[in-house]
Amino acid sequence: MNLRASQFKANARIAAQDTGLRSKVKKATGTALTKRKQTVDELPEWESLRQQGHDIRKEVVDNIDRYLRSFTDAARLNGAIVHHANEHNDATKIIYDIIRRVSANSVVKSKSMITEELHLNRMLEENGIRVIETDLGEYIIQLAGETPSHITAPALHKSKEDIARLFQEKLNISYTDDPAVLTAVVRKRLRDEFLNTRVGISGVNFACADTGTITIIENEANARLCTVLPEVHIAVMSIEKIIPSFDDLSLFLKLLSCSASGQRMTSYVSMINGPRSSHNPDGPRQLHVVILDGGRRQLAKHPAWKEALYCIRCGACLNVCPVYQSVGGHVYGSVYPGPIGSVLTPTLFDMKEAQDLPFASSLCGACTDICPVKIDLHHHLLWERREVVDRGYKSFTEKIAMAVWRWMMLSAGRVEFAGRLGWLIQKVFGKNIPAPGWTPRRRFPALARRSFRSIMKREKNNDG
Amino acid sequence: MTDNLQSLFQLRIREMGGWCEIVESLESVCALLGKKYAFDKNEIVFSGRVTKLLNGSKLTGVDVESIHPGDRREILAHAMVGITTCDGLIAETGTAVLVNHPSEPRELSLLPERHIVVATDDQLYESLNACLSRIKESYLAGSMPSLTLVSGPSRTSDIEKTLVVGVHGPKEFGVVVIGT
Amino acid sequence: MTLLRILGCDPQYDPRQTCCGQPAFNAGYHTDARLVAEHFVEVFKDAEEIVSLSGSCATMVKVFYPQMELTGALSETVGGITSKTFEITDYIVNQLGVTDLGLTYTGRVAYHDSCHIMRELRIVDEPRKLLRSVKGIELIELDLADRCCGFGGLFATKFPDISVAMGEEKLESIQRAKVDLVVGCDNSCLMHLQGLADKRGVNLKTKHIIEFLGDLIK
Repeated sequence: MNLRASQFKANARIAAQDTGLRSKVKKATGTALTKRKQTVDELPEWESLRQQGHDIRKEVVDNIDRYLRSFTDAARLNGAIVHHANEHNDATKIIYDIIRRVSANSVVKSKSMITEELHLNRMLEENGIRVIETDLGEYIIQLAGETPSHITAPALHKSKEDIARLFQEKLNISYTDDPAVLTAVVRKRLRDEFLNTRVGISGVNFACADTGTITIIENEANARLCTVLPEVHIAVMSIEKIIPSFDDLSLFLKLLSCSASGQRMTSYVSMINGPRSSHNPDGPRQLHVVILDGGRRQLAKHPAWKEALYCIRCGACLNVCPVYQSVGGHVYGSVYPGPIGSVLTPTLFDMKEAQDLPFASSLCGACTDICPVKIDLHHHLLWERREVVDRGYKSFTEKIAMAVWRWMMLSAGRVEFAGRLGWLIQKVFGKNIPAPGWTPRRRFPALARRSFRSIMKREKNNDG
Repeated sequence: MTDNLQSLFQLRIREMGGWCEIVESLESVCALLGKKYAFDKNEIVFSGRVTKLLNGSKLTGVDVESIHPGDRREILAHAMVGITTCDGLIAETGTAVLVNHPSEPRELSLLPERHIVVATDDQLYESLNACLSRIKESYLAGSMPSLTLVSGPSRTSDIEKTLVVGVHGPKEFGVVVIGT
Repeated sequence: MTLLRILGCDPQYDPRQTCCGQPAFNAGYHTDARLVAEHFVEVFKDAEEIVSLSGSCATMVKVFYPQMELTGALSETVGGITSKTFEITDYIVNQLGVTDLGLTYTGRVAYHDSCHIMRELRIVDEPRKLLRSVKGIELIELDLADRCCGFGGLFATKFPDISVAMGEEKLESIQRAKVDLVVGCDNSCLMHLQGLADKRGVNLKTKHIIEFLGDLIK
């Protein structure tokens, strides 16, 4: 498969018929949704928390420059070295240079979507730096040479048998599909890497503009190991990760934990306030914070689509989306799959390349209902469809078809005529005439001989 | 109120796979931990803050401050139990809030097989927000140490959403609260 | 019509009507949608109340018309149109205040929530109230009640494989519920599910709620 957004249609067709994949994705997303629902149902204030979350994220995105300045100043006061990168290439170069400067040839890395967006691993590996992914899911994905298929559960598309075979082949261990044993294997292998690697790379979940605090949430403790043990910690984030205040953290930790994993709080939350110093007795000697713009400032100016920047990357919209459940994450051909990916990929990256994504939705709205910061996801897809049409990306045939439809719909007589014609065609050729896109796997309904309109007309005439 | 907070805290920490015992005296802390963890003295490491809190009561193990800094990581990586204090317990989430402290390095709650927190019942907060505000207020800008929130043992659901406890961090997380 | 007359209304049918414009709107062709929407507004502007048998069309009028750039005098009319348009079960239960039609039916019936009705119009209880009032009915909740059936308008033909995959999930949920009949408020979802069931040889009957209730009157 050529995993590009432009190939979505073809790839989704294959994936939708892969019942093995569908059952794996369905099982994993189903479990996640059940856990989330249990926790949220016990929080009567959930709706008001969502609104608060929405309002605060809006405030940040509307005033992104001010908050970025404030965060930068506060982080520097804490002793962090802050780097701003406009383009993706700038960010990877900054990161590479930091690693080079301390003469390291390997890095331990915790899960980070922004480094996926940067294709950081590929770039570092090409330059001779070994990247060790330490989140269990990411470790599995790296071992398989794949990309994550979900924002928070990267190996969601793999069964335990898939992973057992992968470990057997790549790690030379005897076959076992016991998740506990597989996990223990990884713990043992990575322990020494954590203790001996000099550079740790992490993402950032929330960056507080008032205190310069970098917050990372997780369950495994690999992010703690990556950010406490090495000599140098590089935290990579995009500009919209900022929240106004340290006081907002408890709200966002709750929204994110509940939505991502159905937990009230994840096992660990690291709130990092600078490198080792007089007030921070241990930890890395250098803390670098690399902040990527990558087209976000531009997107923040758009009156509607800026909402996509409110996202806190919980993955709930992926779990609840029936399209995602049917095809998994890879076919979206983007770092960000699912509903948020379909909103973000065309607007942040390339609308022409990703023009099919806004249409890859039945507009059921389950994503909007579950979003912890109330992004109007499915309505954005509608407006993005309009943009795709307005930019002229649609085929000539489709435009003509739409014009014919409009011409018909502007006159009741023409609609009536078309209905009768349809009935006649069915009458002459039978009910099973093929209609591409519909009939291969669904039967077409029988058309009525007389329309509701003509029945009503006759009724009226009889009355009169 | 404290009783309610205590039981809520106990409920939440159990939901996350941790445990919480409430004891009445410093001696009971030592007795409880002594009974629970029959390891070699060198396999149990506690922080200087724990030593101070226990105020002369005898706990089996070594104070992390007595270990040469060069050997510290190696010893902690092989320790069976790491014991720390904390700066707040959060009832609504079953969380212990740890502020980075000179006599309580972050490795101590991270590298050993188990992490135990010794706390007092006056450290209980209903909400995380209340605790974090208190901590923020007590530091000048640019001088707040790093914080770690711990709500359970290290865990993962990355393989078919099956819960496995003990991935990269402690396999056990427990809190002993000294209260009346 | 019969049902509305029994409930004391005097329903009128304007034969000039065609479509609300949703197909083009959802396809991104907002200019085409707007022209058709303007035709709709023109036809219905003098109606006292507008009742729709399709929750999806009602959604188009109530939720999306106000967001469209209609032109001229019609842009002023649209507010009035929006507030006097109702999905039929919403109209019967909340406008007419009727929840018991005094009908009888024996059998296991499931109600299918169409997404537009459930999430855009937030109509969830109204159709259930009407169904539950039918004596002898056994109203079953599907285990995937809040899940989309995969129709989604043009989505069903643009991405037939995904649409069918989603429909299969829903169909399995319906089969697990062991019902004789699935009743809904939007014929398009029902047509999709019925077509899928027929092709797979699954014994499934679907009916629009008004057709179902109307048949009971006869």
